[in-house]
This record gives sequence, C-alpha cells and structure tokens, in this order.
Amino acid sequence: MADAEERIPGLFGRAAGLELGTDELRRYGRHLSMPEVGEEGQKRLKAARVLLVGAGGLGSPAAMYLGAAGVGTLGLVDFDEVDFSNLHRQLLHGTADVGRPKLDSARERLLDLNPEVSVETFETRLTSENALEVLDGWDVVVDGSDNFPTRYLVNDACVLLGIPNVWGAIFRFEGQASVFGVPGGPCYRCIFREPPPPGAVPSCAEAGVLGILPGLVGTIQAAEAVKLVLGLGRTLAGRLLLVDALEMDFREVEIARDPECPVCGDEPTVTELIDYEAFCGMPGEEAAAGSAGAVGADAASGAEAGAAIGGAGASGDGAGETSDRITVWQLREKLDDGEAPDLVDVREPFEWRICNLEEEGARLVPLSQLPGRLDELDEDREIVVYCHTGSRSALAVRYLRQEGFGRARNLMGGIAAWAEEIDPDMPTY
Amino acid sequence: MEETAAAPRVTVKLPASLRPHAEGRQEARVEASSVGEALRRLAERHAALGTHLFDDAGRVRGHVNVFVGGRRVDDPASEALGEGDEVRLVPSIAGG
Repeated sequence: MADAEERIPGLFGRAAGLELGTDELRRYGRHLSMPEVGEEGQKRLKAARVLLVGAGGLGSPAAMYLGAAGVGTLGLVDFDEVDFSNLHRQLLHGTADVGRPKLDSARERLLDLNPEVSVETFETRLTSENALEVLDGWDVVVDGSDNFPTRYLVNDACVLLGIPNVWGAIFRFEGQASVFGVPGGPCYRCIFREPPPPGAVPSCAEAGVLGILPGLVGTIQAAEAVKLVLGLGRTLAGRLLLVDALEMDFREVEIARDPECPVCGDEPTVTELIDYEAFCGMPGEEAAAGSAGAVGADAASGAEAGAAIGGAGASGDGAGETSDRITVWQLREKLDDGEAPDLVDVREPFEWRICNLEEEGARLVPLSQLPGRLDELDEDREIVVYCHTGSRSALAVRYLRQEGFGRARNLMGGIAAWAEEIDPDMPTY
Repeated sequence: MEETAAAPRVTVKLPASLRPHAEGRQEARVEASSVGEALRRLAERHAALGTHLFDDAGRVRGHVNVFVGGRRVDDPASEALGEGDEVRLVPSIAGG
C-alpha cells in the first residue's frame, strides 16, 4: 500500500495498533486479496469512524455498505420513526419496523449485516447547538439529510471541525454527489452559496423520488467514504457528479474552492454555527410553500397554471396574513358548530385514496387542476384548502386569493396534522 | 440585449427541479451570445422559470449553478457562448 495517501490525519497510526481476528479474516477475504486494500487497508477501515447524518434513503445504502465493508464504528443521526412511505427506498428498515425509531431498526440491520461493527446512535435533530458536539471526533461525515438547513449546518460544522463531508442529494430521478471540505477542495457553500428561496425546490416528500435512486447515490457516497479511509483513488473532491437515472447518464462537472467562501474562504466570515432555519428563510411550516409547483405542474393538464403557482411560491413570500390560515382545531370547531367551509383537497388522487376528509364534506381538486376549476368555487364562501402537510395548500390559497377568493384559508399542517391532532385512527403516509 | 441572426445557437439543459416551470422540457434551444442572454431568453419564454433563475436584482440565484461544457460559469453575463454550446443548469437539491 505504498500508494495510499493518508487523507485522515492519524488514521493510519490508529489502524497500525489493531489486529484482525479469524472471523474478520474470513469475512473480509475478498478485500484482503486485493493488494490495494489488503490487511493494512482492512485495519484502516476497522479503525475508521464514519458518521451518517440521516438513516433514510441515502443513509440506508451508505450505512449498509460501510458496515459490511468493515468500517469499525458507524454513527447514525436521526430522530424519525419508520413510516410506510419510507419502505420503497430506505432498506435499513422493514415493514415490521413501521412506527419504530429508525435508529432501532438501523442498528439491528447493521449488526445483522456485520456484528463486528460498533454502531453509535444520536436520536436527535441536528441543530446549531449540538452539531459540533455530535460531529466532533468522527473521521468522515456522510450527509444524507433531507433539507437545506441541515445541509448548510453539516457543511459548516464539517469545515469548522476539518472533517471531510461526503455529500449526496436526490430529487425524483436525479442525484448529485461530491466530497466537500477536504484540503484545497470546495465546500458545499463554495458551490451553492445561497439556499433556494423557501419552497422553490420541492422536497422528496412533495415531488417524489425513484426508490432506486438513493441506492445509486448512497452507494457512491459509501465508495467515496471508503476511498477517503483507505487513502486510495481519486475522490469526488473538486467534482460534482450528476446522476440522471431516467437517461442513465452519469456526468461530472468541475467545481473549485471559492477563496471568497464565507466558511472555507481566505477570510471566512462564518466562524461559528449560525441559525440555519433563518438562513434558509424557514421560520415555520409555511416555509415549504411553493414546493407543490413541481407537483402541480406534473399533471398533463394545467401545467402552465401549476408552474405559475410554483412561480408565485418561489418569490419567497410567506403564506400571507394570519387570516389566510386555520388550524385543525379551529376547523374541527367550525364543523362542529355547523359552519362548514368549502373544504378543498389539492393533493393527488392516490393521496386521497389513502386518507381524506370526505366525511367532513371535502372534495378533491388536485393542485394542477385548480386553475381550470375555479368556476366550481364561490368567491363569497369561506374555502379551507388542505394537502398533505400544508405546503401545496399554501400555494393554492395564495393563488386563490390572487384570483379573488378572499376567504380562502390554508389548513395548517394539512391532513397529517388532522390525523395527529384530531383523528389518530386515520391512515398516514 | 438585441438578438441578432448571427447569435450562436445553444442548448440549455434543464434539471428535473426546473422542468415544471418550462412546460416539462428537458432542454431548450435558444440563440444567445452569452450565458446571461441565453437564460434571459428562457425566462422570456417561461416566466415562472425566470422567477426561479433570477433574483429581484436580475442576478442568477445563488443556488443555481451554470456550467458550459462541464466548466462552471462564474459570471453568466460575460461568459460568451459559441455555436452548439451546451449550457447546463444545476440548482441545489436536498432530498435524502
């Protein structure tokens, strides 16, 4: 292994003090027989500590391959519970795990794959208050989080701590991957210097994602983490890999460190963690408003109108005045008092089939159809619009108000909030 | 900027997150002498796309990267284009 380059200071020394037992020699035989890895490399993997932020779509394949490969200590950060809607892509978790903490099912899965691995879990939402403490002491961080504030938080914490950030992100059929924060290379902020306006880029929950896609991208992240540990090959530092599963097109573009980067530049202005929710303009749940632009525009009909709605959301405006909104409890009260508003569900038909408020008088008008069905609505009547979590309906309400429906209101938190607060027996997704 | 018949014909590649704002198109062909002009041409065709590409001051938004031939464009306004160039838009995505 004369060619190996120590990319993680001190790792090779830590590895030198380790031995591989008989079971490990058998388990890792196909690694050991490759001169590029060999016993020295396998001991480096055993000595390595890799932290995965998110035990979801990207974290699942990354953690499973890293564990199987013999990375000695895997850390997992997540605070979520397994949901049915996770199962088409998050292979750390099985059907029987629905409702359990993801960290519990992840730990079991990883230890079943490889009992030689030590799994450390952090059941918490990563925040500016805890991130430095959680990330400190890890050799490599694998970012598999699912939102922009956490992306910037992980990046900044990695730069401040000097930890390589193996980064991946997915959207529908497309993925991106790179390695940030290595000496001389760019960090996430060098490339994406500002977050998108709130709602301009939909989440996977809103826009959907091909279940296989995180398998592709998360596995690439695992490969990059292993190369960092082994000191082998050429990593994605300085390159952004773009994956298009629909075209099965893999291409890379050049990226470089920005000397004026506020975090890793020559004169950094961000020298401690900041408020990333505020940085990303997400003070509350309506921050996701706009994410439905893509969803609405998906339908064959009304594509222009859906895009126009999305454009309005992308302007960065909030959800509007307080009177634009209504809580699930306020809606329950209205219904109980016989003051039923026109209840409009702007989700997709498949979502309606999972759960709906039809018994309360709701009807389905998918967001993409809304502009073409305004004649079904009464300008003088109170209209309460809901979707899954409140983001598409926020867009719809903004649009309706622009079109003269001044009494349109958004059901805050959507049908998910209704299920949680009002009707615990309602199926969720 | 005035468009001339001599302006190079280029292809702008649109990622999935921007396609809903461009009638679902994966790419668009425009005639433009610079990257900035190419993006403005796109925004003229698709107003919603313009909102996603440009901020209120008319600058390309900080979460949208532009690459020509695999090389990142720092200043779209001054980046000249040649006949047949491929302009690739790469906005940030966060799904995991």
